[in-house]
Amino acid sequence: MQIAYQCCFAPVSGYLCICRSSTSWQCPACSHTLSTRASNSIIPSAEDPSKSISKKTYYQACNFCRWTTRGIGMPDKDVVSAAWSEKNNPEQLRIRQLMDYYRYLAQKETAEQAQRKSSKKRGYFSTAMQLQQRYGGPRTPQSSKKHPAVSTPLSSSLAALRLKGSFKEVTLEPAQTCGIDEVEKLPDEIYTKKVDFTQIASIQQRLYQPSRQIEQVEDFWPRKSTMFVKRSLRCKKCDHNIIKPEYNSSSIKFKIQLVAVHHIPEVRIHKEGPIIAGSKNKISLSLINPTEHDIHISFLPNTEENNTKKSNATTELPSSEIVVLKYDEAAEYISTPTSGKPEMFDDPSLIIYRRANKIGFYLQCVPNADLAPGDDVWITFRFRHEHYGNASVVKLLKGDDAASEPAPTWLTQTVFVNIGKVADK
Amino acid sequence: MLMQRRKNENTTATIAADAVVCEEATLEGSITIGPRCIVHPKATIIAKDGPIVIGESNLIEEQTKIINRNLPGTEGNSPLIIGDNNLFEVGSEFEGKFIGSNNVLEAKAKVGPLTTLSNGCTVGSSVHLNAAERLPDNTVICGKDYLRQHARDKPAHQGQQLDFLKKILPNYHFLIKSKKHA
Repeated sequence: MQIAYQCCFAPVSGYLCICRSSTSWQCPACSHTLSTRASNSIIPSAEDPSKSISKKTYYQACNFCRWTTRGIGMPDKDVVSAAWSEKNNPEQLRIRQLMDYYRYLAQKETAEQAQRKSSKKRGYFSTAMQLQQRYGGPRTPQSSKKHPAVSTPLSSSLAALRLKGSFKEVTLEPAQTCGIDEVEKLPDEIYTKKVDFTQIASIQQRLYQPSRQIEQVEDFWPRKSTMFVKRSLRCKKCDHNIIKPEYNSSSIKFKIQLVAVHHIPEVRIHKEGPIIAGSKNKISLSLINPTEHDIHISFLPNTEENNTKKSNATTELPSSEIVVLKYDEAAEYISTPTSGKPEMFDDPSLIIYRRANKIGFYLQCVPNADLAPGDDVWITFRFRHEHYGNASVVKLLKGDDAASEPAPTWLTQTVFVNIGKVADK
Repeated sequence: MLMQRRKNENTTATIAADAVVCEEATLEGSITIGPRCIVHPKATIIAKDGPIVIGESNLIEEQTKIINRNLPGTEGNSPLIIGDNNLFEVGSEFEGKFIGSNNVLEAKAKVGPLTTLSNGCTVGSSVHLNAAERLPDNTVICGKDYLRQHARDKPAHQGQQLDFLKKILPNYHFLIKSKKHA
């Protein structure tokens, strides 16, 4: 069904556009795309009623919620595409009238503006306008409200002048309204009757087809698929396009090296354990280095706590620097854990494990003593690591030799970790 | 490399002659599998609180768990009866006491011991049911809001898929031989 989308775009003006194609439809129950299914039905032959021939017919079905056009008694079609139609909007006539009226108003306004412009050149018209404004007429709202029927010779002549470049006048009946007393009363059994949810459309389903607002499931009708348009997103600082709107998912170009996960070490919770408020708990976290450089990480306490999240535990950070090896694509396939590098000597009280570009380490934290069992415990810290940007790519493109190691910039990340809930005593 | 074969032990399974039950499936307890059923590798059928009787042409996919489990607070051995033409998709779980025919449990659907399915019901992916009720015929429950619908027809029959699997599975898996009837 994806392919069907490509060929059927109307020019995009908003976020939501109706797909003009007759091939893609949406399920009225769950808004998934409907798929056309073929089935063989045996019908009596037209020439010889005693014989029966098999004929292929098509119906639409939703793969997700198993809604079918057969379920609502819609007859099967003889052709795969086309032949499916949307139900008419009952308010179609009124909408058309309103549209005509607004078009008329717009025309009128532009004509008036044009006249006002030209009136500056013609002295008699502007004098007439001034007279009109001074002595009242349909233009001044107060007087026109009080005496709507009064028409001065001045105003009528003015109106004649105004309508010189004449266009067809459109009148519109005001919308039908009804008083609260005229609304039909709810039936008595409304509170006692058992509701069958399978027969009544949900609010979402009703609003999904606003023109018809179906109440009963049996009145469902397939809906033309709406087109989903992505909005483009630009970086607020440098104005680069971060997300480009594309019609088709296959035409999205992935921007290599622009996503944070390719640059910033990832912090994960390695193992969960019971957390006891007021006492020292050992938390094990892991760090993953996504870059192609070995990075050195040093921890800093988070002094400036902004309003994003408050820490409710005191954290004792590792004082020594942690080295996380670079990401090596081939490391998965090589059995030695350090992939040929000399063995590192790690402090077992700090480092839990070291595997390729991953490392597990311990933190000590004391949750505040006033935390009750079941409360979330948040810790916060900052860490500093070097960042080489896309220096390696640049180097590769320029063809420099490895002699000149790019200079790193140091970045500091602030991390908030929800390490779990306080355990029951 | 030879795959290590684990023999199913402690099972008193009765498997119909033309059912295909892969050896990597776990069968525990007294289980009867009807004709033309397919049980994929790594499916689990455990007759914990009584025997399990599976009817005809059922398709039980990988990582499905079918467990005969008593209601909380009840004891004794009562059978779990599964009708015909049911489809248990990958990772679905059923722990109730009764399933009719032509039902579909989609991937990761879960039906607890309190719920029973009648005929032609569809439990959508990752829908978890355990209310004390018997779903009426042709009920469809799907979506994250557990949207309930009533389908006009029962779900399509899996005949073609069963035939295909019956042909293809023995090429790649060892099968549990059906017991010879004396």
